[in-house]
Amino acid sequence: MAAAKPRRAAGRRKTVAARPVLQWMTAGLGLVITLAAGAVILGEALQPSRPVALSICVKGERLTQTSRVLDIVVTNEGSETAAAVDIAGKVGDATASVTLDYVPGDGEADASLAFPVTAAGPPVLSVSGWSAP
Amino acid sequence: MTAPALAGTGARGWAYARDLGRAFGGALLFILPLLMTMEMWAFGFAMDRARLLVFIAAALPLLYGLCYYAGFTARRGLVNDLLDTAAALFVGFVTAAALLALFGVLTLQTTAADAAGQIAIQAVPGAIGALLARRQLSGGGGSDAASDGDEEDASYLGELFLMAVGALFLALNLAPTEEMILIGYKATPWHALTILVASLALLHVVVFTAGFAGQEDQDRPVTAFFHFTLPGYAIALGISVFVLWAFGRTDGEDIPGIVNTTVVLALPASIGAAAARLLV
Repeated sequence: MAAAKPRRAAGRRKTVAARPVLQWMTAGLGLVITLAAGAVILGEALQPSRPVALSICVKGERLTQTSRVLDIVVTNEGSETAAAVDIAGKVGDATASVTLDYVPGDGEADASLAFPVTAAGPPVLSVSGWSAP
Repeated sequence: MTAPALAGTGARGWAYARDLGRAFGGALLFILPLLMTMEMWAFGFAMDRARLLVFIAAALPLLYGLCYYAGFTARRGLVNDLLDTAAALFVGFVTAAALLALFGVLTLQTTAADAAGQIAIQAVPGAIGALLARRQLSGGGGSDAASDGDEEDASYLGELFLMAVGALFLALNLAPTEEMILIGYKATPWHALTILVASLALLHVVVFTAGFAGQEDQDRPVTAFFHFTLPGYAIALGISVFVLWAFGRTDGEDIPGIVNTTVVLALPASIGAAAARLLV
């Protein structure tokens, strides 16, 4: 009985030692990364959903040969994603519009509006609509 | 830590490192089309989180089963298959994250939740690719030769499982695209019926060519039709409706609409199911 134990233990040690360290490392990392991604997604799933809430901020303004370009950032304060987001802009009498494919929940998207060079005055920007993805 | 130390037990360590490198190649080969599909980027943040979790959870036993029949290392056994499953997920996550960052889809401005979704949804097919790499990319040498051929001994249920993997692989590549919905809308009931019959016919033909039907069924096409083709098509339909549901493609649709789109997606899925023998 006493002799059998060390033999079993030695056999077990031999099996474990035969596995490369790299195999344990990649498997361990795979487990950790998968659990981490699952935890982040689960955390988001358990949070109460907040409806789309879009706001526009002017990031910069520049002149090209043909246009007065406003670079804007559209921010979504809600947790739900907005698709086909229509942005309308007005400078004086000139209007411009742009459509963004998506603005992710708690995320942002960049866009630019181009007005005629002659357009003068402060820009007035608004979100005219979006759809559920 | 030095490279030999990382590799671990000498020749086995280096053989594993080679298998791992090939797994990255397999993952790359299998998910490049998905990584370059813009709908998949959007699903990463727009997909319902509960469905994304169900999608990942459903993939885990499938990946384990794939390890059992293929695996990216030649060794077998419960522990080794579990390690291979986790390592395949590692390969899938790393490949997806690296390429999404390379394509500018993932940036420093991407939130953790969006990034987790965008990477995880691509990591699952990436892990499937990693596990199929030994079959697809092996030159026949190296450490693999010893225990190749496990899928040759697959039971009937095992054969059906392999069909499900093949169906999922092709369905995953096509379900995210808008075209699936559009074809579903454009298809009249007659189109859908024709697609259904064509899917069954193609499945039956490929089942024979790929050798799914065993030698005893090879001479009995009617028996093979009931043993493999019909169950295979049912699996293709089931996988198709699951993937469509996971991607929200069934939302707001009535039953005939869902059936139409499912039958459309089941065409490539059934070809994938039939060709699973060639893939795995």
